[in-house]
Amino acid sequence: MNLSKNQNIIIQGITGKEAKYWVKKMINYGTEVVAGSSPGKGGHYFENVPIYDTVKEAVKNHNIDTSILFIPPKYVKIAAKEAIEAGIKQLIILADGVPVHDTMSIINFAELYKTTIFGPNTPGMVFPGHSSLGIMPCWLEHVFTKGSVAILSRSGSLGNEISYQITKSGIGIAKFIGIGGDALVGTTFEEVLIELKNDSEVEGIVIVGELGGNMEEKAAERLSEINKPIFAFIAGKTAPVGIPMGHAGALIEGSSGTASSKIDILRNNGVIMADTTDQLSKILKNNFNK
Amino acid sequence: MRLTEYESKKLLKEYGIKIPEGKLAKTSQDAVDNAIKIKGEVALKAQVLAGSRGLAGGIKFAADNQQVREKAEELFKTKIKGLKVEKILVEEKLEIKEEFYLSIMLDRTKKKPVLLGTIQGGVNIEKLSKNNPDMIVQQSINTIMGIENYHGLFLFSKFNIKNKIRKEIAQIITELYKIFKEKEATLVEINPLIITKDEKIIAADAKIMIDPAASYLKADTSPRYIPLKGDIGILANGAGLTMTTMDVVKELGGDPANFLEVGGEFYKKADEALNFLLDQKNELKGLIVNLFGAYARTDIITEQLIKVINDRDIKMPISFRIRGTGEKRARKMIKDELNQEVFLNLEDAVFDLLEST
Repeated sequence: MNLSKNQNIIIQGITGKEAKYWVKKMINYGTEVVAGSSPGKGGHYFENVPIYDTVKEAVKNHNIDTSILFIPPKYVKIAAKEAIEAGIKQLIILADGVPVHDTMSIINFAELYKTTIFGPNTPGMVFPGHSSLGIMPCWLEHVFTKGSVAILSRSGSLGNEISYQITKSGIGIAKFIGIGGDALVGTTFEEVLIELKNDSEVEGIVIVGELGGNMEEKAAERLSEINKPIFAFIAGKTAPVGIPMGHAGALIEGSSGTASSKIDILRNNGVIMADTTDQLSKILKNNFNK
Repeated sequence: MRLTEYESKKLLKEYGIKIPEGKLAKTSQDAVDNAIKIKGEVALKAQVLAGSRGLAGGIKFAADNQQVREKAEELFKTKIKGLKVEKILVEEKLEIKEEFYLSIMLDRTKKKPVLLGTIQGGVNIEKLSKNNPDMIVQQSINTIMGIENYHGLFLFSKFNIKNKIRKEIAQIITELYKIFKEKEATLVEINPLIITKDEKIIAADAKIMIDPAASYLKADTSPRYIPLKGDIGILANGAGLTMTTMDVVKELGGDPANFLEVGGEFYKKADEALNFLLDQKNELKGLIVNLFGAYARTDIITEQLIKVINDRDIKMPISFRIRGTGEKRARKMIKDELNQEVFLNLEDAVFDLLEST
């Protein structure tokens, strides 16, 4: 897993309309986009970034840490396989609506090649004041200001809201890590938490969860190992049972996975919980030892 | 996407798994006709997508045609967990010796499918796993390796059952995995899997869930809308933010009328989404629009919303909270075209709306 702010990036699907919009934003922000790929567009450039037909050709010519996939959901599996086989060690899969069996295959391939997968349905990562790897409005300073807290979020939109609250609190953000809203995602809260244990740039951690699954519960089991204050907000207290709430992963199944059960488990494991997003900024101000 | 019992069993049959003789009935006369063909006692099973259907009165048995008619009529009149019964599956009643359980489902924690089985089926598997976990065998599935007969043979070697039955179970497991994989299911479950008195193995009930994003299905492009009971309309971008908006409305004393999100690719269809909401809910007291754009550009959403508001001449109070991608232009549009302030904080926007409704 690479959570460094200095990552060399390839954009798969760089010639798509949305990709172009976001790649420009990323480059303007200071992100090292070293290559792009798009079958049939090899030899061209976008914003001075060289484009290759295949990821393998890009890897021959550049040092690449992470690939960001601007690829429609049904083609993600092939694109991910291409990047994994080309030896790229970390993938950020943005698409919403990737077939879950494709995700399972991607995760299996990634295990074989020791590749880290973020997503699908993740907004990516932001390292405020330095670089942005995805589709978050990094350039808005009232949302993303540099500081000492790491945010781990399943949702992009709610991740924005929480980032804004943390910026408002004056503490600011060291890194924003998007986990993804799908039922099945490559990297979970638990794995990122462990990775952040020894991250000298991160002095506190905010978990932005929601109903469904047991990712928050699994993370709670590991909290005693983390010697940093941990805060959390969980969305979906008023959601009905048995209906996926927009995210494929936000689904209460049986009696487990409700927002209130997650809140209880996190609180019992020493997490400082915010009832509302506004409250989070106040709590951070009061509790966070700068 | 959950299939009904009938649809699930049809799939099982296609893959060579035995199911009871049976047919769907839409009327009580259909039910009688079906029962005559089956001969002997029959089971009448309401085809509704509700859990614990048996306990809720959705399964009845009938010994003769008169009973079939009466009980079918009764079923067509009842609601099972709030759902109207429109179809009944009329099936032969099985002579049960033993009830087993088999399932393959997506294990979100291990990120792999998991195979579960027990010879104490017919009960709620969650309960059994709590009370008697030793009776359940399970196996994580590596999707590159898949499932072969030896997996099932090994798993069921834990139980004291006849070799012939064990062999057949292993075969059923490999077929179940084929269904799971080929139909891109998130759950295939046979509960109970019946061993009859003459040692036939028959899937008496089945539940299959298909991934709504499965590669062979058309992408769902309808708005992500869920009706709720209250009267405060909600439109936001992204699932997490929409749920949070609902939570805040409730927290401040309001009652959300719906979940509606226009995040991701849906941001280009915000007008369609708002029209849909207004058509579904014509007695809203007010509407909260909460946008915090990432991929979804708030200016493009706002442009569409203003058009709908003007076209439909909407008079109810609408509170806007807009931040994120495209926020400057979006806020200016609301000010210029609706002559309204835009809130920066969600709680302020909700509070203001609840005050004015």
